[in-house]
Amino acid sequence: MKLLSETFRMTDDFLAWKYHLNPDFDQSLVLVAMDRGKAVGGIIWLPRNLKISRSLAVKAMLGADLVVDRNHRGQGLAKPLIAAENRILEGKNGLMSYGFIDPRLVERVHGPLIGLVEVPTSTTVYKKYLGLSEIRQKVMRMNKMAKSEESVSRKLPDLDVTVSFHLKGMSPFILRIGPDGVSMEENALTDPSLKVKCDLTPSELFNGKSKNLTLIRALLTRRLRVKGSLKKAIILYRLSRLLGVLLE
Amino acid sequence: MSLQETEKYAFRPYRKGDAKDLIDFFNKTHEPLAGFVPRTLKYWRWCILSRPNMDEEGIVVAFYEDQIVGYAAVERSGKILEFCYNRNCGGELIVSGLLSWCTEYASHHGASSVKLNAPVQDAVVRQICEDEGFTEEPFPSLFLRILDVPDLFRKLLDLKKPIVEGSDETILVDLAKFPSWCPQHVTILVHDGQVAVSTEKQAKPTVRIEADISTIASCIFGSKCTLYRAILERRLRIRPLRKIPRALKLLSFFQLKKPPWFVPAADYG
Repeated sequence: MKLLSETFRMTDDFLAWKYHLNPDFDQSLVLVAMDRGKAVGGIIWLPRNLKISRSLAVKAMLGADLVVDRNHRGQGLAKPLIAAENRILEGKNGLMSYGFIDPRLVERVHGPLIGLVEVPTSTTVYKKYLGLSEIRQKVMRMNKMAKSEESVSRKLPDLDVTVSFHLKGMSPFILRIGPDGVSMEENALTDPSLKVKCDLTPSELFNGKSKNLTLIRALLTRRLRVKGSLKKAIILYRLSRLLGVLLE
Repeated sequence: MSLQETEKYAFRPYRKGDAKDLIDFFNKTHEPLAGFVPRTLKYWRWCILSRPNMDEEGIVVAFYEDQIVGYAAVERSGKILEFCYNRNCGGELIVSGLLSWCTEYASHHGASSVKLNAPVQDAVVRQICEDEGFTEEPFPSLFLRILDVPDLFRKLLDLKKPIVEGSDETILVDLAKFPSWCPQHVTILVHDGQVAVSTEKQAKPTVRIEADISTIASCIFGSKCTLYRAILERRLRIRPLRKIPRALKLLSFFQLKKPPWFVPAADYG
């Protein structure tokens, strides 16, 4: 549980609710990978009754969480955890297992190991921003990143760019990126060096499999417009890792 | 939150004793949708009332002449966990009233956004959300695998009870890449027009089919892969070749034709 809370920033209250208080939680559906007495990975399933068509309900196993300790990533630990599904679910009378997983991860890991297939859902998510507090939080994360990651921090000292953003579903705002980091202004009178106008939501811009391709397509179809000096636009592109936080 | 009136509909916060009626309402509304997890009092109390970021004041109920016609449960963070309304009873007014209430509640608690999961085909919710300045975001990808093909085949046959014309047939399906504790083959028997499923291996099947775990799942759940495509890509092999049309006809009984999967936010994360 400590590993889950550290990795996914889940509070103790949330974890206690998600698993210990869950009426369906079954300890035998938890697998933990240990290294010298320390938990370094784990996977948890939750049993559920699930309708798979208008009139058919089955017992299914929801893959609730898969976690690998940061210091043990890239060592192939996730694969045996996922492959263990075969052993862990034996005798549990589940007719199928399912989960909400990043498709890139399924293509690389889950697919070849256990043969997961994507089911087209007819669920959509509607979102309304209430002010710019979400952006403010992201700016804080950007500053944290600017301090902790050398690849970002070394690009900042020579920089002084102001970018105005007009994104779909959000109030306009201005980001100032300079030697001190990133700051946000809501009703600034500053004349920005760059203007970004987009009739796509941040997630629409950033959720495609190929982010660069999505950006290029948005630029070509003029759904994304950038006005200002080309030099500043190139600098901005070089800071895409930092600005990526904005679009997450 | 104060009591609001949207013409003839009344909206009020949750009161103790509402739970059972709300659960019945949810189950009745969502029952026809795939992806539905039936609510029991125990499950609902856990997934809504006991949630750390949630309290009873985050639930609003809509009434029409003392009848529940809708409700919504929203977290303080603005995530709407459940959203239900009666489509046959002034849908637009109920949806608009519930959404306004949720937005006000989330805003009051300092949430940065309001998020609502809804079925794509729900035109009423779509229209109201567009009018209210909501944008649309993609839903996380859902993946699944089948663990017990014979049992699933049996359940689908019980449901569809197909009658097949033509001669009797014994079809042996070899299931590749399934966990060792799962049946590795399934026999589909056609006798006097009736179809049955067995896990007994027949010595002399009239048709033999080979498929792996993901091909079988893709075919059943009607995702990208169709039966024909699976044959062309040699992921589904049928012998003898002349039996392909008949085998495909029989396999089509086990297909779920693009079921509308809907997952409320309360059921994950």
